[in-house]
Amino acid sequence: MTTDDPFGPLRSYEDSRLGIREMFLVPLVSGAETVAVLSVPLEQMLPCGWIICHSFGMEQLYLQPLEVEVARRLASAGFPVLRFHAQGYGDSALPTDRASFRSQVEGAIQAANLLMESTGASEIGFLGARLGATVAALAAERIDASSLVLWEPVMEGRRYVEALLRSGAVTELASRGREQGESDLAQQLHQTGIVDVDGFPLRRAVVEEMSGIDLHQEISRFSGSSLVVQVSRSGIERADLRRLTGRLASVGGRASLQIVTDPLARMFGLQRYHSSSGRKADTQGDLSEALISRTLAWCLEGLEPDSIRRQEGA
Amino acid sequence: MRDHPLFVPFRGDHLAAVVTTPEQTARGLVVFLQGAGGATRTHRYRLWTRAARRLAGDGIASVRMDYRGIGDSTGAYAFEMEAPPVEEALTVVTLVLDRLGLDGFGVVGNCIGARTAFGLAARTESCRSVACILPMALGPVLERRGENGVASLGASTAKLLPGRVAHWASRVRRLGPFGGRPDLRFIPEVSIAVRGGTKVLFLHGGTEESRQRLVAGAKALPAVALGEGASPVQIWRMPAEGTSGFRPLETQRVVVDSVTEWMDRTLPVSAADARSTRRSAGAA
Repeated sequence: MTTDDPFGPLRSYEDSRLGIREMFLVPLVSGAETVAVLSVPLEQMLPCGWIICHSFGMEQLYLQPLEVEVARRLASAGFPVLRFHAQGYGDSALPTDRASFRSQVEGAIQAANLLMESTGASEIGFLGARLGATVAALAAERIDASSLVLWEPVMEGRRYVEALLRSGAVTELASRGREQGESDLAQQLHQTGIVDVDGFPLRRAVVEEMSGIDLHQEISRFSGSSLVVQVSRSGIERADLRRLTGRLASVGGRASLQIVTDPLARMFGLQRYHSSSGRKADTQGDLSEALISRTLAWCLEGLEPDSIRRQEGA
Repeated sequence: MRDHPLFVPFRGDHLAAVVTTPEQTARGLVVFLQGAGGATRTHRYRLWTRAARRLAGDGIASVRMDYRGIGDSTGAYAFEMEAPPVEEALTVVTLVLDRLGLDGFGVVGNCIGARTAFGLAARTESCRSVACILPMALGPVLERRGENGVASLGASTAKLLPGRVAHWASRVRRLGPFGGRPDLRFIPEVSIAVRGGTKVLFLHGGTEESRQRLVAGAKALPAVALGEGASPVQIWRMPAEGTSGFRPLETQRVVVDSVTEWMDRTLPVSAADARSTRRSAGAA
């Protein structure tokens, strides 16, 4: 950024109550500019920095409040954190139809390099929810990250795509009264190369790349610590997440599966603000708090004793 | 074109915003205000990001902002249709106008952002133009009728009711509790803005019935009723089918096209023109 930027002095702010500073960055990610937010502690910084990986399509918007909150709480605990818009999302330079799973993974890796350069972090952890968790896992696998937090990860891309198409078909029926099955949308995708899923342009190439994802198979060399969190209404452990945790433990170090139970578990990744009498309220505050406090406790638990002493001395 | 992200101090919190500036000196500023149902400064489907880039290509700067407690802004989340975040928007606009050396702006609003847009227009003479996006309901720009009856039942609340009850609640909401056809009554800020010389576009995507009500309401506005010169209030149509939440993709394209065309028409034609407007305002 050049010095003639009339808004330069407003790029950052400090929150003395949380003990953090947040700063806007405009990095090059996946070949084009985007907007990122760096959250750092005002006091001593821990050596492990975190990259927040957002999810896909509308989930990116719905999960953002949770991601912002966890970034601030991690920074408040001493960790530098970077969150950013992958290309095709938010303030990024490229159009929405350029969003792809692979570019999200590449973007996360580039963001990790940026975080290390800008804060001196020597270790990197990746954190994400739903498909963002899958992005985080693949990025961690690629660069030998030290830590990984997966909130309700998408295990099979094929099933995720099917759910997207099903949701698009339901929306068509609800908003236009037009009965269009999941298979009709799949056929349209095949013919035109693009399909409108809840207002999000889903490209055939993206569907094909996502359909090939099998998270269990993708994990082969990540050797850091990992936390897998299942969001559940019943509290019954999911077999696929147990299997994933076993896989992470077998190739890496510490791996644990925790279950957060919440009556609104099925709404995770969906719209969280709902209206009543001209007002809207956040319906997922408790769920967010449970996820964040579990994650923070896990992150602090994994610190080397030296880091904790440095923190306490600071 | 260049993006400038920033945090604007506001009553102990910080409002996150992104200013997009054209390569050349800007000829005006447009402020984007989305609904407050969790949409961030880019709006759903990045409508504001897309429109900002088109405007920059036309020499117009823009700012999109996160309300308090949303997106990258700090503070507690609050949404009340009766208390739109006008002060937040005014704080951001004032700062950006000052930093860019501009004195006139246009505002684009949707849902509670539409109500906020008229609140801004009524509060400052610098607002030259409003684009009010109403994909489904006119509610955001209407006065609340009564505090205790179904007449003030919101469309989103009606959607939660069982089928037949929802049907009748909807009829009552549209036609009034006794089946009559109440006049459409805009919030007072709409008249104040129009009377103050602000040009207004209603980008409407509702039913034909609600369109007719909107037309009747617009005709009753002060400057429109005088009928002098070109009407300062215009109503353009959005594709009416399946417009819930700016779907399908075609609707999004129409929104971006319409907003950029309206602002191109209603803001100063050049930076020099904007400067001369500023000088004459200063002389007066």
